[in-house]
Amino acid sequence: MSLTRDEALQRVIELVADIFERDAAELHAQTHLMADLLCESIDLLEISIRLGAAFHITVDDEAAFLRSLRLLMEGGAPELARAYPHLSEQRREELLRQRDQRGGLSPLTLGDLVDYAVWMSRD
Amino acid sequence: MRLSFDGPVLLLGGGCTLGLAVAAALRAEEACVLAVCGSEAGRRACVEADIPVEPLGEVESLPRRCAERLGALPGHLLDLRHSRRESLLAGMPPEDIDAWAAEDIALRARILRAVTRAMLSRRSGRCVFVSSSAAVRPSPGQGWYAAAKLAGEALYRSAGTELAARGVTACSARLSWLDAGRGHEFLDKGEVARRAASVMPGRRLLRLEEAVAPLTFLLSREASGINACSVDIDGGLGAVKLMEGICP
Repeated sequence: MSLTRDEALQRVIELVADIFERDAAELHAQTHLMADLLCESIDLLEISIRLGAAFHITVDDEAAFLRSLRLLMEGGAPELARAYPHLSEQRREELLRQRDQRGGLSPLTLGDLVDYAVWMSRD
Repeated sequence: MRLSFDGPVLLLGGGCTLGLAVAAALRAEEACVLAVCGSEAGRRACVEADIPVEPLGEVESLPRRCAERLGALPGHLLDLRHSRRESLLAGMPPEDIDAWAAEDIALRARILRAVTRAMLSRRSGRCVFVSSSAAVRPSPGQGWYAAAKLAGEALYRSAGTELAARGVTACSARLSWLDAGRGHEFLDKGEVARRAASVMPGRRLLRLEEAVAPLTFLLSREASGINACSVDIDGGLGAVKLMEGICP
């Protein structure tokens, strides 16, 4: 049976809450890893390892953490669709619209991680 | 002082004389040990010493295999393995250079990556790389060996700096002439051993137990403050001027 997005969100929130020592109730799909949790590269490494273990997937950090987002945006929507098929069209458009916001901080959210985990776990 | 170990100890290259001696010392401290050997001879030696042993195999699966054998992910790592590839710098055939990089550098990096990821998931770990005083003072013919040892030290140093905040620390230990393993082979020539001993401040070579005890300590939780650095276990050899023709 496929993993539901709600189930995946719960798992992601639990592991992120544990890593950042936050109350899970404070976290939601729109929580930003960088702006809200002040996530550092070591945190991303730990998220990657735990995400892999929690969902039994091999995590490609480049795709899961939208590492090359700024560069890929130069190619517009088609390039984002190719690199991040796990994101909805709506989310990719949102990323393009907000490209100059957030002062250079990555717009990565817990919801993006959930979408990645669900996409990688699909039957 | 009793030493403490949080989780199994992986002994890479644990079938050598030094590895077997460290395994015995760790067991005396009630640590749980799993040797990992690339050679059949090493695995046989471990079996004879009643030490659980795994083939090197696919290195990314080492943490999982450790958990399957001993019931927990590795908490400590001692890296003793190294190839026997030695040659003058300009004397190495090109294809052997690729094999050297793959075996003595890339494989070590892959093992360290796999094991530290497992340690990171449990937020606890201690890694020790066995280097050599030749890493910083290679004699002619030891250039490849020295370069690989320095690369190993750099990898372990970075592991220590990057992961210490998550409870994983690492260091290297530079051994010098030790009358065991390949050191014994080198020194098993009366005149060479006599000359080597003559330049040691103590006028003798290090005994096996003089390497085993500090390595066992460095592996323990009590040594976690010794992080991202290289420690000399050389009897003071690194502090003296060497005679011509004597290599560390």
